Amino acid sequence: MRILVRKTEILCWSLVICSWSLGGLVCAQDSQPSAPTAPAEPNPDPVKAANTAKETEKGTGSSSSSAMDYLFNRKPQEGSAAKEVMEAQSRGKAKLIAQEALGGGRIEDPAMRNRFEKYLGMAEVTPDQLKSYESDSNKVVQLLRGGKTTEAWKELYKLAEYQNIDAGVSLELANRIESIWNADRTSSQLDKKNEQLRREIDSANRNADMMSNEIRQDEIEFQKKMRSGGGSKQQPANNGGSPNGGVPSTTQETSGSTASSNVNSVLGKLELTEEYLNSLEKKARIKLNELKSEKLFDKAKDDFALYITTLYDSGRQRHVLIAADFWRKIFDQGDYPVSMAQQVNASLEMSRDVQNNIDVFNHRLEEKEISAATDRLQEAFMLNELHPSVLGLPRAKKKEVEGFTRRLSRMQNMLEARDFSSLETLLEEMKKMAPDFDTTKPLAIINAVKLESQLRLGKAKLAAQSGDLKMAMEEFQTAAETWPGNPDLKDKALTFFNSQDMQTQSLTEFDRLVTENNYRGIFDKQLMFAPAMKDDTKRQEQLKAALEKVKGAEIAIEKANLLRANGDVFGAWEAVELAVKDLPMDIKLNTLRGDLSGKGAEFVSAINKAKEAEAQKMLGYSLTWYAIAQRQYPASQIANQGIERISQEIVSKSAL
Amino acid sequence: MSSLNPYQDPEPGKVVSPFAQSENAVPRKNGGNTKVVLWIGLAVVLIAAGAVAGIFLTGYLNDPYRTLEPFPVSKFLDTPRSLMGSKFKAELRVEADLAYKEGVGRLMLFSTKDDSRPIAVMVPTPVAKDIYFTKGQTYMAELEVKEGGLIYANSCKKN
Repeated sequence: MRILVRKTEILCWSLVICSWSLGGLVCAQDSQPSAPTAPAEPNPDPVKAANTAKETEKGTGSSSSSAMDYLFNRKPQEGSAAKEVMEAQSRGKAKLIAQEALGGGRIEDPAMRNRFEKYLGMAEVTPDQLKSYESDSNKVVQLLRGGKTTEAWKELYKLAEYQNIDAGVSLELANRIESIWNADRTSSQLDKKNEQLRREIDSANRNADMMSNEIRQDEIEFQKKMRSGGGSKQQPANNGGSPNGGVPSTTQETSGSTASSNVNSVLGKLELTEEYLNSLEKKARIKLNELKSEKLFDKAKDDFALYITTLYDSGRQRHVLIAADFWRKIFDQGDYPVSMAQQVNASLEMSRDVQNNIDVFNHRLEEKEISAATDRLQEAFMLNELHPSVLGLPRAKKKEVEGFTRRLSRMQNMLEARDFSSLETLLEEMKKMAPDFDTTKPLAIINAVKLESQLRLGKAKLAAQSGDLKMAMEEFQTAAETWPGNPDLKDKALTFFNSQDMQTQSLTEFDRLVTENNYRGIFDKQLMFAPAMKDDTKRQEQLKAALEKVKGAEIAIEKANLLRANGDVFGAWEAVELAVKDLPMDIKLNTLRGDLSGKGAEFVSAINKAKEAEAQKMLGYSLTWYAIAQRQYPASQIANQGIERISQEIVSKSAL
Repeated sequence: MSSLNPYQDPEPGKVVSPFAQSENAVPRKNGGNTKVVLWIGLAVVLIAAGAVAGIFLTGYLNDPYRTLEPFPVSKFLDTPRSLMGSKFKAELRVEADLAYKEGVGRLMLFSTKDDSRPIAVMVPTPVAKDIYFTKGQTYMAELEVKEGGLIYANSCKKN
């Protein structure tokens, strides 16, 4: 559980860092100038400069706040980096929920889990083999403790032959030991070389001494000759007691008396110098070889310690113990270094823990507590998968664990995929197979997610009913993501989309009818159109206008029928005629008008002629016909209005 | 039996007047006076007829529209364009006053003597200035159909 919590924390922090990086990116993009800015000019006005600084600060703040706004308040668009992050977050969340639901009953590391699953399917190592291997490895330890390092080393090759237990690690250990010995051999060779060099130094020293004596003798002879033969005035007083044993000095070389000495004396001095230098060089070589040898030794020691660490890390605890003993013997150390001692101790403890876990596993299995048994086996495997008790576990026992872990794996997949319908069946199976498996958490999560999905669906429905299609779609999507297999989702989504489809169809038909000026059609389907244009103000206005027109027509029809019933055919016709002006294509109105036209033919003819003449600008003629029509039906609105209108027009025109 | 009834036909099936066998009670007057009276009467009649004829002749000769054709209302209502530019006379009866504009005239509705259907007539100001049109009054007028089928009264006098 602690590991799970830590992983959750890591995931959260990584998401925060990711978001922060994205924010930084946005900030960087925001702060990038769109055009190259002019070089800053010195600002002589300090107040202005302060204001500029404030503005700059404000600008930075605004870019930061816009980035924060972008991150927290805006929804990432399709295909954006932020969307990717959100999806990754969503996947991570689903995985964490699934893992939490399983109660940490599975190995989280995929590589380790794969190995464990593979181990469950593998045949066990026979007890004879295990016993034999253990006996041989104990023998190695005994030999080492008896100081028989080489024999112990030879035994390692035997251990390596148990391929399915040892996996060749003993062979590798043997090779390592051999390489250390080889390094030791190299060190011995260097020692031999050093011995040779020391001899050469001694020889050079002797030669130098001899040469020095010879030179001294020559000089004494030379001085004697000079004293007896009145030779050179100036002789070095201290040549005989030269502190450097006859090595020519600079003063001697530069003096005028030396220049006049004989050639043999000079040559002797040069040889002496060469011998001296050879001696120094050899001493240096000896020192270098010593350093080299020491380094080789240290390196071999460190490498071997490192190899032991590798063995420890790979779970080869038995080999750690053997290798540590070898290390002590080979490098002739009384005790282990601290880190190695810790590894040895930990290996011993782990070995004991593994054994304990396997014992508990066997017990749990006998009690049919598969879940607990699986936990124990997993722990033992993770501590040391090559431990003899782990390797020797019979396949029949592992099979039950294998079945359980396979179901656990399926369960996790189902939880991640939110396939709750199949998951419930699987949980039943699990309960039968492993009665100790706690289904409380998975069931609680299933119920919570189902409830959330249902609530989202309800919210989507309400949003759709209130005409908020965007929110409805978002809620549908969330409900689907929460529980893709929700059986209500299909029905509700289908209803929603059908209604949306109907709405679209209604609006298309409405637009067509508006284009055709078919207001009667709109009137007849007003109940269908009205809900479809809840938030469409323009269409609402069009619908209102259409309904008012048809309403006017309906009133006119009612009026016409009433007038006709009272014998006022002209009045009836006129009522319809006036309504037709607003609805020229209305079939109902036109039918009634046709019917009434036949009955009031004389009046209708007069009105029509008047209208026709008016249209042709035959105003006098039109006026006469309006007057005739008015004579026939004095209450005629069309005639009276026509007379009034044309009279005024004639009088006005004549005035011009 | 037959002798007792004086009105009885002497012959059966035949009716005889009761004064058939009586003489005239009033004697006949002289015929010369009758003739004079007749001549005088004839003269009077002739004089009267001459007077009437004179009156008619005078009236006829004094009628300015005597040369004009009566306005054909029906033809106007059928084809107003065919009457455009022609002048007619008509006895108009005032039906309604539609509009008036100073300097333009008065737009009236009249009916003619022969056709009761109303026609719109523009009576220009010079013509209409001395006339006070009252509904039901009749006027003689010279009419001319002008552009747009509008009838103008070129002159008008009360009947």
